Parts: sequence; structure tokens; C-alpha cells
Amino acid sequence: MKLLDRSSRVRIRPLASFQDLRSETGRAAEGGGTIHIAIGNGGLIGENAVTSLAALEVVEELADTAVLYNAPPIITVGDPTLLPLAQDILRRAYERHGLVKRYNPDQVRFVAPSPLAYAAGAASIVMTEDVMSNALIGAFGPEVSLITDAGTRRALPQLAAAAAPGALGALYPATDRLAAGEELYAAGAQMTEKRRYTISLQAQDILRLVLAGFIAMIAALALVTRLLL
Amino acid sequence: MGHLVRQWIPFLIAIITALIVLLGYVFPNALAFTYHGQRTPVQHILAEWAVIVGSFALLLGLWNIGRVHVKKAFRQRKIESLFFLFAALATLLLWLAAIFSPAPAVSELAAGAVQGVYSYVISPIGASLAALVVVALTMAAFRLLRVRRSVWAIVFGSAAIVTLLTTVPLAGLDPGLFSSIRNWVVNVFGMAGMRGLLLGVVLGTAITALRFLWPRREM
Repeated sequence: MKLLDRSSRVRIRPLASFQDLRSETGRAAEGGGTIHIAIGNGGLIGENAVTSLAALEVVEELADTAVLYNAPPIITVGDPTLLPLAQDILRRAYERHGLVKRYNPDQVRFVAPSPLAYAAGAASIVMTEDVMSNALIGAFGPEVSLITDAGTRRALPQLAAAAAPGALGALYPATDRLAAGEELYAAGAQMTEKRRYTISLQAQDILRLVLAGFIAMIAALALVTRLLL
Repeated sequence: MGHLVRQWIPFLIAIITALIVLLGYVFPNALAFTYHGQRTPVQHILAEWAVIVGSFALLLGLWNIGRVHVKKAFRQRKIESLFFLFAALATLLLWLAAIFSPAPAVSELAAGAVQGVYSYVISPIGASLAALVVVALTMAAFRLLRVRRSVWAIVFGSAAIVTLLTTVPLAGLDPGLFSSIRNWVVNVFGMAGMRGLLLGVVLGTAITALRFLWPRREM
């Protein structure tokens, strides 16, 4: 994910799915529309909690840009525990810019608690509202193809990041700007390059190398043992 | 003081709660308390509290759905939102009648109607949405081969076609051969890719969770 260049500054492999988000927000604002961000069905209680929190990091980093452009994103959530968090992120962005009166809590929408109903509801928003870009970041299943299909029908630019294999299989044919698996957790580092994100990304890389080395060592050991015995 | 409250108190609450839950799994008997008249492990008690908070979030979510559709129906004159509100209100009234009606005949009729809504409206719509997912996936795969003619697109399409063809029973052909091809593609290539992906996800999850738990200082 990251390489150290000569000046020892951390260089991050660019991921279009995150790096284009700001420009897509600007483009949507210029066109008089907005960007739709689907966070998925993962909630705070359950196995997808961290994936959902990583998706909220993207919203957090994008919120200031959206407020400055006066084009707040439409954020759809499929779990009610994400609703107050996403609303709070958007409200705080308005507060930071002294525009709290413009804050509209209905920009964040709880669509439905079941994955299929959520996907159908989010697809309906993409089809019927002034959405000019479609970003899908979070915990999804194969039903995410309903949302991407709506985006494709309107010829919208689509960006996606997901960790579940089922969702990746559905997203891969829909967009070439896809962050797969662990890349989802690199969103903060990609969008801000703040040290807290880049350091955690470095730790992730080191752990991965250690783990890969350990697996290779165990495999080699098993092979040698089999050959000798 | 403000710094302490905003950064360290949530951090300490999260860490202490996580440690208690972890210790609850390691020492289930030592960390069990009398809760609602029976001895309950501490992690179950904490999970129940989390569910209570989650149910309040659900109420907030339902309020949000109602607000959005009321605005759409009355300000933007969207007929589908009006229909949604009407359907939601009718179901709610039927449900209330089924539970609180003093007349047993009315209560029974309303309960039957609520059951009917589930059996004849919600379930068929769910099934048709599931079928629609398959159609959307197939269309996306065809579109991929038309729009993005890269090596990986061809690999993706070929893997999907091989897996599908070797899964369906084809008359006159050796099912054992097809089954072994499918198993090889799914269990060797598919499984290897999936394991690699999941290892990365596990590491990413762990590091992201630590980042969230650790008190924030902009660096």
C-alpha cells in the first residue's frame, strides 16, 4: 500500500475511489446536483461495525468540502445506529463553517433495515433525485448491484469501496473505481494524508508482512516435514 | 478539563468495557451477575444494554423515514411517498387494532390482515427484488465485457461462465468431470483469493478499531 521514498515521506498508492470523491462532489455542485453516499447495512452492533465506521470516516473527510460547495451529500444508511452518527458528522461540518442554520438532517436517510429493501430504496433515490455521482462505501452484499444498476442507467460516475467478497463480485463489473477489501480502511489516509491515518496504514502493512512471512514459513515447514517423513 | 472529558473519558469507557467483555468470555462464572432473577454473564448484560440503545436508534430511524416522506409527499408532490405513508399508516393501524382492540372479532380480523400484508405484499416483493438482483448482476457482467475489454474483465467473465456452466446439470455430459472443474475453480482459485482478501480485511479492521479507540489528536 505504501512505499517510502528517498526523503522518508510516506507515499500512498493512489486509489481512484477515494481520491476522486472531492472532485466528484465539486462536479456535482457545479452541475446543480449532489453526490449520493451509500454506507450500507452494517451497524454499530455486529460484525460490520468497523467497516461502517471506516465508511463514516469518508463522510467526515468529505463533509467540509460538501459544505463549502453548498452541495451537501445525500447519505443513505441501512442501519439505524449509523443515522445519528452520520447526521452528527454533517452537522459538525456546518458548525465549523458557521453555517449551522443551513444544516438539514434529512440529507441523511435511514432507508430500510433489510439489505434488499435498503438497496431498492437507495436505488430509487439515485434514480429520482438530483444525484450526479454515486459513491458506495461500507458493508454491502450482492444486492448492491441494484444501486449500481440505477447509477449505470443514469450514466453517473460511480465510486465504490467494500470489504465483503459478495459485494466485490457485484461491484467489480459496475465500476473501475473500486477499493477492494483492506483498501476500504485506507480511506482516511487517501483523502487527508494526516499522520494518524498514515501511521495506522504503515502498521497495517508491517503486520501484513509479518503475517505473510509467518504463513510462508509454516507452509515451508509443512512441506519439508512431509518430504522428510 | 474539556480535553479530558472529550478525549480520555470515551477512550477509558471503551477500553474498560472491552476488557470486561473479554474477561467475561475467559472467566464466565467469575464475571456473572444476578440479572432479572438469574445469573447472567456480564457480556450478555452489556449486549442487552447495547440492544436497548439500538432500539432507540430504530425509533429515530423510523422518525427519519416518516419525515423524509412527509416532506416529499407534501412539498415535492411525490405520489410514491404519499402511497408509502398511506401504506405505513394503514399497517400501523391494523397492527394497533390487532393488539389493543377490546373486541376479539376485530382483533382477529386485524391480525389476519397484518399477516396478509406480510404474506401477500412484503414477501413477494422481497422475492422479486432478489430475482432483480440476479438480473442486475447479469446485465452488469455483460456490460463489463462490452465496455471494459481488459484481461481482468475477460478473466472475471470466464470464471463466471465456467462456474455457471459446470454447476447446471447438462444432459449427456459427464457430471463428475464438470463437478471437478467447478470444485477446482471455486476451491483453489476462489478460496485462495477470498482468504487473501479476508486476511487483509481482518488486519484493516483491527487497525481501524484501534485508531477509533485511541484518543484523537490531529497530527
